[in-house]
Amino acid sequence: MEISVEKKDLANGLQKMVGAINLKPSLPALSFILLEAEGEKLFLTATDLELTIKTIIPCRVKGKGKLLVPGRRFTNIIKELPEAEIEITEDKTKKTCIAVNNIFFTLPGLKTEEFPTLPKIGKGTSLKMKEGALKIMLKRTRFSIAYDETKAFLRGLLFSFKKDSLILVGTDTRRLAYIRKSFPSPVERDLILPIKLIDELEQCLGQEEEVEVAINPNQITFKTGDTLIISQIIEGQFPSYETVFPPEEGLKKIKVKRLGLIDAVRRVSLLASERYNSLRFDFAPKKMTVSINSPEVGEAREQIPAEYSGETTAISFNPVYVLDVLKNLETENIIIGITDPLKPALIQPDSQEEYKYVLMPVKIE
Amino acid sequence: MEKERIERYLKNSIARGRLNSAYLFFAGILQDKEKTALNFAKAIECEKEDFPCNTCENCLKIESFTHPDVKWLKGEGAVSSLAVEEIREIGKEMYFKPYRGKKKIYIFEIERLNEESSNAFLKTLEEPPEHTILLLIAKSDKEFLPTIVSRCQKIMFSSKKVFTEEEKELQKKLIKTVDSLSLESPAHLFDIAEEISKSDSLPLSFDLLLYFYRDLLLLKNRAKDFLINSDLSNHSKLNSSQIIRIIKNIANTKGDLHRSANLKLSIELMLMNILDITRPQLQPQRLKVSKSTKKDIKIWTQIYAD
Repeated sequence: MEISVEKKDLANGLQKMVGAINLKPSLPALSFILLEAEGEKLFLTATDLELTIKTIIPCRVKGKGKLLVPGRRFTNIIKELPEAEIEITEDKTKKTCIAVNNIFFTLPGLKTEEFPTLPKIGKGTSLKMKEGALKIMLKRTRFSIAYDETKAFLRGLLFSFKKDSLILVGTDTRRLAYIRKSFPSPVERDLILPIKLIDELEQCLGQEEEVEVAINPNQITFKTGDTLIISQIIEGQFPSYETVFPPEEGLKKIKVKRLGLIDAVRRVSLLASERYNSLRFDFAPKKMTVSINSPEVGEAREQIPAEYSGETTAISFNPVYVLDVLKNLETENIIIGITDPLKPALIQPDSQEEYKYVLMPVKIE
Repeated sequence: MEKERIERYLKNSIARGRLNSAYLFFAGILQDKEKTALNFAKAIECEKEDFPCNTCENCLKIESFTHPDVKWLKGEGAVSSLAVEEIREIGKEMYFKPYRGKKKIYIFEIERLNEESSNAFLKTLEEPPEHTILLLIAKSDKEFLPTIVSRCQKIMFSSKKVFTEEEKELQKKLIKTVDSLSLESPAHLFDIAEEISKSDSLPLSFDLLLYFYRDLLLLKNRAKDFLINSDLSNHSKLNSSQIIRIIKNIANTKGDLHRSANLKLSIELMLMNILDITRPQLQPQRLKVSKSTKKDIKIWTQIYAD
């Protein structure tokens, strides 16, 4: 292989690989990046067997071929090189040589056969959606996923493709975020997709462009621009989420300013201690009180205006779970819906968006 | 069962689509179990109808241990085991669908699990996703919790090893060499040590010697049924405790292979120990030895003073 490529292009391409390079790989090849030169293109591929990223960058190919470069090190080297055309060649001993002006690097190689072959894609169902719309959906649900839960399906986000809509659900069993968008889908299928993919997508997706999604039995592929993001699907049955939604009937709704509530929760939870870490929310006509009472630390109370006309009632929540959702919404007002101090409550934006955030209350002391 | 029969049986269960989610290969010889596990993995992932074809990409990658869906986990430590974190990691990872193969196969080569690891392992065994197959290679099925064993299909390997003609020849030659050892010509012993240490059939040579003495021991204890085909004449003079000492000795030296010990030195020591065990009645002072040999003996007694 013999190519020359602009530093800027290569550095940009390598930047996209970061999420898929494994630092503690089970196969040696997984810490490497595969470079394939053909035509006037250089293909970069990295995989950790959970997430696979492939991208194309322009280059001048003097001799086509492929080679493996140690991912981390190669990326760091390219980053430090001056803005110029970089020559990459493979020498007779199968080592990778990098040369710019009077700078030379030689890196040991690895047989390209050791790199896992890309899973076959393309035969599955494919569909297109607006990148910005998907990004919003991910933002609204991503934060609810459990990080270190033993149940595999809780470490992923549910993508439920229905005939006329796409539903995303994330949960850690104590709270659940649900969003639905009208969207004609050619398939009806429930997929659980890993958190790593979600994070990668949030970074890569733009606004106006369209992302192409291909669904295969074991993998899902997102194609955005020149980049392919392939992820393994998590095997498992997602818990049925409809049953946890509080019934519309008997739901007491309180409308409150989102930013005002964020500030109040932040301030009052300064007195949260390890033992007393839940905030009490009292609702009375036209006002709402956020308070905490930790015997060892102190007491705090803040009153904020609210649109509410029902009877007085109170409920307690973990402040982290409240802040998480408030930070990931954008509307001026939000609506809190409660039925009973011991039953799941609902937080929704005051907009047309079909979004539901269900959270379990904490028992009031 | 013998290795060949086991492989046939496993192939049949693939053909009938009756695979279990967990297997325990135990007893028998490690190399047999490893080979069978490898062939089993190939047969599962192979794309051809006549599996395993040994030519498709899946087969080749499994053979070279680079298949993304076939993980080989070897335990660490004197008694090989796996850390609990490692098992938990697998418990998480196995839920991702296979990368390119049909199934995800995890092969665990372990002897024992501590309590924490056992519990973690049990958890992964409880409801493995449909696409995973766990394969445990162990010395014995007694070392694991019964709850673990009961979730695996147990496959007991026969310890009967069938030697090839070449192996038989090599064994005969080795035994002959060991028999020819004599204190009267230590130089000869050094030559033999040199020869063995440089031969390319090294781990095998040790194994063949071990098998030989193992058989001898079994014969002494009237357990003829378990014999591996060996010609055992002329060695009946050794008693059980002597044979056990010899076996320990060889096994120790075999262990040196993995350390970067001076191999020739280890083998010399092994041969001398064997000599010492087999002919304890010959005390050096009662021997008539030439001056030069005496010097030799002096040198190597100094070397191995401890």
